Amino acid sequence: MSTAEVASAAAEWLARHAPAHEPPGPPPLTPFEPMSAEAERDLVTRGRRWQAHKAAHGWAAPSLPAELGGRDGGRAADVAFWDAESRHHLPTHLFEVTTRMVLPTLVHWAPEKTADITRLVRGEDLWCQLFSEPGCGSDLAAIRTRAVRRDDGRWVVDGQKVWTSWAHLADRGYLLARTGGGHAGLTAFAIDMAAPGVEVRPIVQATGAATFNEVFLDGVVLPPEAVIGPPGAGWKVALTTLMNERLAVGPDQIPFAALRDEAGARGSLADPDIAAALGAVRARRRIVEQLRRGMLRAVSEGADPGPEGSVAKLCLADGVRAAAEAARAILGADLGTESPLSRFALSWPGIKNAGGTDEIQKSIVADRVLGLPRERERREEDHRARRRR
Amino acid sequence: MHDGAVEAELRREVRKARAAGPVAARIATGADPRLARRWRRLGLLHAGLPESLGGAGGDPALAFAVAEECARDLLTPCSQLTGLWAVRTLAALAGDSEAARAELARVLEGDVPAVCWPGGAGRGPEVHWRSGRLSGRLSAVAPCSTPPRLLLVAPGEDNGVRIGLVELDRAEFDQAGRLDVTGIDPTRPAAVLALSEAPVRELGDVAPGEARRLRAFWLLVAAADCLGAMHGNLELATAHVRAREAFGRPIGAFQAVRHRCVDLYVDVEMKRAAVAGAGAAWARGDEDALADALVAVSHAADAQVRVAESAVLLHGALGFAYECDAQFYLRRAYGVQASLPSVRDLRIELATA
Ligand SMILES: Cc1cc2nc3c(=O)[nH]c(=O)nc-3n(C[C@H](O)[C@H](O)[C@H](O)COP(=O)(O)OP(=O)(O)OC[C@H]3O[C@@H](n4cnc5c(N)ncnc54)[C@H](O)[C@@H]3O)c2cc1C
Repeated sequence: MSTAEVASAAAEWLARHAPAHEPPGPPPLTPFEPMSAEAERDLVTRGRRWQAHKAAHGWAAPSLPAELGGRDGGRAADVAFWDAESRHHLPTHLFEVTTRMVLPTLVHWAPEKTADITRLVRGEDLWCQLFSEPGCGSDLAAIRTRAVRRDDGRWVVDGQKVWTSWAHLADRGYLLARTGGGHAGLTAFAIDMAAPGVEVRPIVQATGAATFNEVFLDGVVLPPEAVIGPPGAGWKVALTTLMNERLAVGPDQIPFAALRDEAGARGSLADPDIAAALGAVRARRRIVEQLRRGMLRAVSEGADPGPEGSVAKLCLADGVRAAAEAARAILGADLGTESPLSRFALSWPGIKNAGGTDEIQKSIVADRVLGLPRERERREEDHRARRRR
Repeated sequence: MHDGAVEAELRREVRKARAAGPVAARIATGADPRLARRWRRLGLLHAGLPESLGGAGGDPALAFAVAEECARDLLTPCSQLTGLWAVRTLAALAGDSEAARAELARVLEGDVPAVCWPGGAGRGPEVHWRSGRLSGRLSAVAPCSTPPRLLLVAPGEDNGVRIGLVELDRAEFDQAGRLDVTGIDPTRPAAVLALSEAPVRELGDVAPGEARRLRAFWLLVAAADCLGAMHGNLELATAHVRAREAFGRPIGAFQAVRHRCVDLYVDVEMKRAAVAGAGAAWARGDEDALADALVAVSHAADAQVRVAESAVLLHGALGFAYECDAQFYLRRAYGVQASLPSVRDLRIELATA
């Protein structure tokens, strides 16, 4: 099937199957809208059910081979499906780390873990991504959480992770840990979030939500087969994930239609400033869609998701900020009152930094797309810092 | 007339009185009455007010230094800000009105009302004020005391203004349909009051010339308040980029970060120049002080948002955590921008002023 055929088959299937799986109420303006623990658990249940339903019909991950529940469609088929899916209100966003980042990483680096992949595809396991630490975010190679191999081949993990989305709900964790010095001293692991020694503490966000957490790892014992990819290949494994992360960001983070409806309901579309701001938001959202289409073409021709994704991420993140600005204009003096729209106005920094800050995206584009000379001092510093470890 | 030593002493006093600790923790522990008393004892509202009106005398522009310094840490009780507005507003009437003089004395003792000037120095639709009754939806910056006493400035004869006091008793207040609007900026309580035929005590009228001057004062206090918060925010951000390391060095060593910080600094310095210049013009009684005040405040609202957004980004994911002060500066900036007249309206007025 061509990507276009996948897209239209997906749209047709979704039209029939999505409505029964829609959560009650309107879609939230932001993934950082506060939720009760009960509502969150309900969303996980719905997400699992939807994931299982897709798996039963071959739509859980169209890129996978048929025996793993896919349609041999290539990565482009996945993205085409997500875009079609995002036109419906479905309980997917808790599963995005799982299906859009962890899954392609497992498929690439640990295809032998068919049991893990199958559980993931069927919605039986929700995953979280344990990369960032208190001491490092942008500089991922500087992580200090240690995994030490014991004589019996098991690993013991000690350290702390932070900003881990959905760790409080996850069954499994995809962990990057230090097993030696430098880039070659990183190894990726799959851990059980219920294992002894794993402690999760929520972090409240600016909007009042708590989608991310601190995760303390204290003598957590992992079996030898917990390794994802070869020991010491963790940096490359992580890069696969990060490239896929850029493919995962969707234009639906820019809630143009909801903002326009809100402005209409308040009679403020007649205000030229507000109308113009909304027009700019719509343009931005559309351009993100078009950028993704370009990425999709490249991916369907067999390329890896490349640094062009950084352009889409930059454009998206600024689009969310612009949408937040439009929300403030729509609210006017009512911004002071707590409302979904006022919380949306505070949510854009979440999108800006998750998945790499603007500065890091720009460095990727400067280095890898434009091929500009790297900051000399930075290169030297990098080198020295790596050697010290 | 300007006395640098007095101003410096005033700023020192304010710094000493500040609460310590992160904003989120202070909000969680609630208002501290001892702190409020300490602020009252400082007598900041007296600075620059003529002695004949019960003030401490000195350069009238000291009020702007007070507004700026108080806004630095986000934790100064907002009665300091509303008190500045209330004091000058009542002072403008004090020559003719016994009631205004009494009210002024009350404010100077620390019993500060909420204040509101829809359309003049605040955002919001016009209110209807007829035969001693007031209707409309008011957004007011409010000290914590409830039920609030509200000092209102509204358009009067020609281009003058009239000033009234709304004092609701408990029952009236509950009926008024009060909405709490501490949502966006918990460090600065504010209220939206939906009033219908509420009794207003008329305190008097201010003639057009003096009304312009009063409005310039209100706008300048608002601009100085922005300046203070922007400065505090700049200090927070630069302290973070000095301490936080990535790639083996402080992030403040990366050019992208350095330039972002300098952009903040330039915004703060532009604001400082605008406020200082306009403040001096106002204190001298210059004709075009209102235009200078419009310059300061129209830049302030946008610049404060720019600075706060940038400072959040400099903090990485931490800037999105509720416990991070940067996030409260962002809330302050958004809250202030939403409560001032829209930047577009201010600029249009400036173009034709
Ligand atoms: C909502 C949200 C969800 C997240 N979910 C997860 C998750 O599930 N799992 C996970 O592992 N992580 C997660 N993160 C963390 C995210 O990956 C990090 O925030 C990000 O990598 C940035 O790291 P940091 O926050 O430590 O910022 P820092 O690295 O401390 O950066 C601070 C500032 O310095 C700048 N900077 C740093 N280095 C440079 C440089 N070389 N040149 C120029 N500027 C530089 C940055 O751009 C930023 O402005 C999440 C973050 C957010 C906001």
